[in-house]
Amino acid sequence: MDTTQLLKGVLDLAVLAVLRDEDAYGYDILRRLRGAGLTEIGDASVYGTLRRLFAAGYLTTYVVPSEEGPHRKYYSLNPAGRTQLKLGGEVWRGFATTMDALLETR
Amino acid sequence: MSIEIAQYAAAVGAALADLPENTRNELLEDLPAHLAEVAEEVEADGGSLEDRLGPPAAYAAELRATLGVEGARRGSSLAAATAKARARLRSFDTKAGKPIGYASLSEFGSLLRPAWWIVRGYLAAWALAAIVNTGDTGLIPRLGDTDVLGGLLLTVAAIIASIWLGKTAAGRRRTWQRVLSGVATAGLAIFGLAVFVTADDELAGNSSYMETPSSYVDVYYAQGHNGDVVVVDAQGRIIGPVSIIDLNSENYLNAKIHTCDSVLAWEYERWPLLAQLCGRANTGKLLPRTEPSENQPSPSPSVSGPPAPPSPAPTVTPSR
Repeated sequence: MDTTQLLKGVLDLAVLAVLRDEDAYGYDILRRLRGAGLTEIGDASVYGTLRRLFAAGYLTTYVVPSEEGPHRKYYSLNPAGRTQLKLGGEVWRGFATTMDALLETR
Repeated sequence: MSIEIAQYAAAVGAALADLPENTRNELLEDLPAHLAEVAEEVEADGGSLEDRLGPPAAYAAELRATLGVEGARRGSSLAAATAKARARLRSFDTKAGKPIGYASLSEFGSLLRPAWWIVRGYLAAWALAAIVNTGDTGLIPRLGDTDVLGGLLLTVAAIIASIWLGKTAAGRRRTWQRVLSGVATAGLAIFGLAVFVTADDELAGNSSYMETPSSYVDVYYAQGHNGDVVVVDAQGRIIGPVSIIDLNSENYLNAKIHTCDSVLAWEYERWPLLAQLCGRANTGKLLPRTEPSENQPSPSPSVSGPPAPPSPAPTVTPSR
């Protein structure tokens, strides 16, 4: 089964989750997602997601200067983002439970 | 490696050249940083950017795809609209701050916040006084018949309460609290403006209370042929043309001479004393001076009668 379709549905939630305990910059977020097992995520799509989440008001950003490379733009969950993560998590769990039950009976 | 990064970035940019500039810049914004990170990893393994990311055209297509996705999957158009409005407000905020020498207008605003607390304390006290006195109150908020000191104490107490409220509320700003305080602030501000306009009106002398004389003299009025007011005494002898001068302001007054046969019903209501007077008009007695009423700042004309002795001559200051 092609996981990219599933991924598109939950990418927002995954990015919020990755930022829950620690702020991160774009590439770092990509690394965390891949490290968590979501290997199919395209490089470009993470940035699109970050832009979208920022526009929706769930993230704040700040720039950390760095000596060896370009300055890094860090993303952080703000209270609205945390709420969204919580709600999204509940929706996901509900959905997963439903799907599990559906698959069981087959 | 940096040459490769530059080339890759340029190629991606070229593949997106058909897009409007804003969109294109948005998509390319994170690319250099991303390429730098990828380059670090790739260098260690000895590969190239293309090995890792695919050809620039493919990457460009991925970027372009995020656009379509963004368009289709906007969480809610309301959230997007508010985010856009918020962004526009932010940019206005910074632009408006520059002429007055601050980083942003809201920075200046937060400096002014304690001053607002003081103003709203006064406005709250004024509102309270206006409600208690059903409308008639001066600039110093007085409850009922209290004097200036009482009014000032009330104002100070209200200001202190407002400052305390401002300081302690600073931390707890949940949404409903912010909405409530926003509405209350807007209400008080409108109210304050109304107070200001009313006070200005009265100060500028447009108030209709100006013409209340503070004392009455029985004056028999006879129209002179040139329209001047003529004053006659009880015997009907004409005293002479008169001007009425307010000794306090030294202004000539357009005084309204009430004659008992021309008093209208509302005037009796407005000035109960007038009703009294007209009831006693026939005695020919001069009436004692009445105290000016507290709520109506009015210049008292210099027409006044001595408290006791009846005398046929009215004590109007004649002018020559």
